[in-house]
Amino acid sequence: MGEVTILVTILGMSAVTLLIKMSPLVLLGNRKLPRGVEDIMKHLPVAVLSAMVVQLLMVKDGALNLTFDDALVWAALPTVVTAVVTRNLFASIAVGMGFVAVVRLIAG
Amino acid sequence: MSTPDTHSQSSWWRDIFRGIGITLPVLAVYVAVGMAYGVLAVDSGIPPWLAVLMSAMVYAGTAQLVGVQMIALSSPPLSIIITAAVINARFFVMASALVPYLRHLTWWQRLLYGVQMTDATFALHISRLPHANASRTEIFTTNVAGHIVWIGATIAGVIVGQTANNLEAFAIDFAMPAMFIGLLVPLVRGRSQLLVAIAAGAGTLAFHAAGLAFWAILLATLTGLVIGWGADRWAK
Repeated sequence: MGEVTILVTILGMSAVTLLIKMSPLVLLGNRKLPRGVEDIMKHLPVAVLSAMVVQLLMVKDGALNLTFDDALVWAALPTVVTAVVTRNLFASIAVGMGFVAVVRLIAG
Repeated sequence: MSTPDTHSQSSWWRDIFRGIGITLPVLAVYVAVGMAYGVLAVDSGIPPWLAVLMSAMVYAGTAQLVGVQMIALSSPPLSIIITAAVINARFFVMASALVPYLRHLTWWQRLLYGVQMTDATFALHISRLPHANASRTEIFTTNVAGHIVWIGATIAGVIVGQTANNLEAFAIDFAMPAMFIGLLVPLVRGRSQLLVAIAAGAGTLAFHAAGLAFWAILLATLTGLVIGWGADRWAK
């Protein structure tokens, strides 16, 4: 992707993000969102994060990679366990990255 | 009549220090994640100055990381922008929730607040503002410090990423998935949220298998939202 295309993409991302973040504070006053919208939006963080994790672990160079021969895929297991037990972001990242580093060291 | 100037100046500094103190844990996370983002961005082939510009102008971690991934995949710019809008739509709900506690700000101060709002600063303020009488100085110290540290960490990450071009040696390529797993797991508290996570994850695989690689995250996210909404209705 060319530099100008990336710049235009970033400006577009910035425009929509700023509009979303600012408009309630500037325009909404004191009104509340429709109940239905809130009910759906509350699932957004879980949905996005799950989609992201799967994409990062199972998609390589734009194509599905379901061979399970990558340390990254297996590292998800100790990372999930650490996150469930500790609920600590730093601990999860450290255990996951440590697992990957050790596996790669052993596998050469 | 004591010295009003000296007094207001010392309370100004006190509010700044209090703001920084409250924000410190968030700033520590921003250093790590901002650096990881900077490394990932240059690793994905984004020019360093554009990676830093995105941190300054978009300032939304998840959308930036998704954006970088999609740029690396040469996704159509419109799909990247729409995806950023979908991912950041939650900020509309969050900003609406803050409206009652920011009414003492002028309209342009609220506009500035919106520019610098993040998940973490929202979490800090929504738990503090209803109970504490936080000054404008303290509120904006949190927001400005977060923004500056995020941009600074990105610059550091961009520099590190350019020198250390073998990310696998440091397992930095797992930093992002690990962070998302660490953020995701505590959010999955009930059966419907587990269902949302499974639906969105399976949806990502399905949309990739269907040849919709550029739209997979967006479509899988929407699938997760619909499934979650349906599960909630079913449970009622």
